[in-house]
Amino acid sequence: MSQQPQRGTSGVARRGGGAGRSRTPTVPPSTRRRGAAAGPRWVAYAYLAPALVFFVSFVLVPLFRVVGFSFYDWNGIGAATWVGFGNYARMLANTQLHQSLIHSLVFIVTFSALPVAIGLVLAAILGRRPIRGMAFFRTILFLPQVTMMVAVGVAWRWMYAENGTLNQILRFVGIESADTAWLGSFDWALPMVGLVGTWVMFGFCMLLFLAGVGKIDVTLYDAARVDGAGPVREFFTVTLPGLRQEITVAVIVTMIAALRSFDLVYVTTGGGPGISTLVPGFLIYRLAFRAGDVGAAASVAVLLSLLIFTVVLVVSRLLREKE
Amino acid sequence: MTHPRTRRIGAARAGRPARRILVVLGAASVLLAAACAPGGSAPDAAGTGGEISTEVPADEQITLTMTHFENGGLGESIDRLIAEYEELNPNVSIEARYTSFVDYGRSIRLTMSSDSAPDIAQVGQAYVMMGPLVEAGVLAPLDDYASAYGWDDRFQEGLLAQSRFQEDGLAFGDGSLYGVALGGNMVGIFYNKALVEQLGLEVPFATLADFEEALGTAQAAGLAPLALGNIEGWPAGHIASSLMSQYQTGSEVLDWIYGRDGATFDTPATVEALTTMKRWADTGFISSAANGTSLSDAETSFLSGESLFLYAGNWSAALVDEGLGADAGFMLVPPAEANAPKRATGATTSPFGISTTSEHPDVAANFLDFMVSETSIPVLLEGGYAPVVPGGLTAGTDIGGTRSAFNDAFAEVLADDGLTLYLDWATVTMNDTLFPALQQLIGGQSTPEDVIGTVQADWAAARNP
Repeated sequence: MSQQPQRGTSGVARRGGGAGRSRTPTVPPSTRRRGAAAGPRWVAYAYLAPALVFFVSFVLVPLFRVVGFSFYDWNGIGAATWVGFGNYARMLANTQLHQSLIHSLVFIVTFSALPVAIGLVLAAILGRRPIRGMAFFRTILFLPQVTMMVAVGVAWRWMYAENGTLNQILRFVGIESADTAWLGSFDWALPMVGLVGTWVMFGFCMLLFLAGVGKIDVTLYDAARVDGAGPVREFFTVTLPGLRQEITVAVIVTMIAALRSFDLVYVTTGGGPGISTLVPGFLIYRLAFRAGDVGAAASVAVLLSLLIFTVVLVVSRLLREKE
Repeated sequence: MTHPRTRRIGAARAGRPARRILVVLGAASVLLAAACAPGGSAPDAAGTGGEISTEVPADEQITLTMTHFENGGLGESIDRLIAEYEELNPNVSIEARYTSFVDYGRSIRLTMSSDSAPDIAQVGQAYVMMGPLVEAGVLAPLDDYASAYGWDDRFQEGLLAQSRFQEDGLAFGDGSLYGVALGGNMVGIFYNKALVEQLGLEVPFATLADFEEALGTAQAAGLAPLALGNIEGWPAGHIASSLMSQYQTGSEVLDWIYGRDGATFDTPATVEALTTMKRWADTGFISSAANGTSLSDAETSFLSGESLFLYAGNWSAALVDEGLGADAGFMLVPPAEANAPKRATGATTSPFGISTTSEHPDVAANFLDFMVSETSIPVLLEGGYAPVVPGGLTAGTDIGGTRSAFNDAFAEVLADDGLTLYLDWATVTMNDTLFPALQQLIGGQSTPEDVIGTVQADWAAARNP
């Protein structure tokens, strides 16, 4: 049969079908279940409406507005000029954007790879057998995750200062010459800011993995032990495969945090020294609110969103459980 | 062959995704349409054609709205001036709304272009705030009021020029006047009198060379010569600009900031200023930790006597007085050659302008004139302003501390019309170009020529987009 008549009669057919669904036993079970659960359509939408209204007005509309802005040369006030993909072309050729994307790669290591690795090790250690005061440790290790990023940034700015905590510790352990102002060093500022991300993120990863470890069948561990596996072997053959889903979630969440990071850089270095800690999120802020180049800022925002979307897609594909 | 009824249901189900896509596409196109053409059309400029008046009509109740970002003592000054003005004009009431500086900068464009724009607003100078507002036609030209009230004679031209803008918003420094300011700010050198005496130095220094020698003396005595907290980038900008202002005439600096034809950052004076800065960094007069030190940490280092000098503006005066008391001193950045005209990095505070949509521009202008008149000097001084109204700086000789010293020095600079503004006013992106470049310079990552090339490229790009 052709598609045309179907589409033409769909409205009528649905009403007829709807009436039939409740009475006719010949309708295939799957279709009937669907019909019975749906009820009148507007009821479902009525349930959705409150959330939908919020989602549309505070997520979708701004999103489309940003996409719209990205095609204009606009300073945030006054008349805007349509420039097509001009902003995209201009920003893709911008060396500062290239730099900031390279910095994002460093952040992916420190915001994502390191916390996941540390989280796995901690979960493997803490999850092996019950530990007294476990809830306490869990809470302590999770605290960085719930602390406001601005407060985190301010605190670490002090610790990284010339006479800050880090240098005091270094001097205490015998490195007398420790007087680097870490956030002012062209070599160290980026990794040091990134390490704050590690500190913030590892607690979240650990908690996620601990929950996952609790879900793994204990008989698998017993079997491994009977076969003579030590803690390391046990980790790689039982814990790691058992945590595949949690690792996927952790990697995705932390990578998004790495790519969209803004507040940490804003509070600690403002992109400096030079542009050695400039990240795309901060570049967007600079363009929109300082340079008054709203179109360019929007185009970078769109590009960044596409990048994040792609990364999430790739990661979830790569780590997907093979069936 | 399936049952006919089943087939029809199947048809209905097949149709649903197509409909859903249509609905989504429809919604998206509506949203996209809504997203199109951001910004409004410029409101009809009130223009200067209408007759203005310096009289406040006494027979009607008038309410003016005003928005500003001055807090602390300066904010209190404004509140007190409003109260005094309302007492003088019982039929006028002024509703002032304070917004923190950061939020103010982000929202002023929307605020001024909205239907409920305030009559009076603080509008900044240069391209970040005033430029776009002028270009959008939301600020009223104040030239007629300036001549009617005699602002032209009251203020040095250099003070008014920074609030002048071309009508298209693309160049400033001349053109119509769009704001008047209550006070000024200026960069200089705070010093610790006790340490200066201990080291046997004589202040103020006659020349920059003397100042540099003193930096060496301090270093030899184990002190940090110059406290600089440059993590934000702009404090080093003040060193660069005030050195530049000593090595060349003020108008050369101003021509470049105002974007006049033929001006360039690549002058022997700039090379000399940046070379001096680099030398200070290389010799440790500027700490190698400066780029990673916050402003408040640098201030603390100065206040605790670890540093001899603090390179800062009058915004730090209250803090310095509180921390050092009678040991606090302030001087101008010394000239390159002794007895040269006094020049310094500085400007007026953010000026107040009037909206084109104001229903009572005459009354708004009358209030602005009141704020910058001689009668308001005591209130301005008490709040911490360095009033730019003639006589304002010398009136408060009893205010004490470094503020007195600052006001005396500021008066000298104003007498020579020697304020050279801030370099990052030159283009809308200059702060994000210049400050990182200077961080690289004092961080040993670049040469003065590199900085000049980067900065001049930004300047040229802004003029030839």
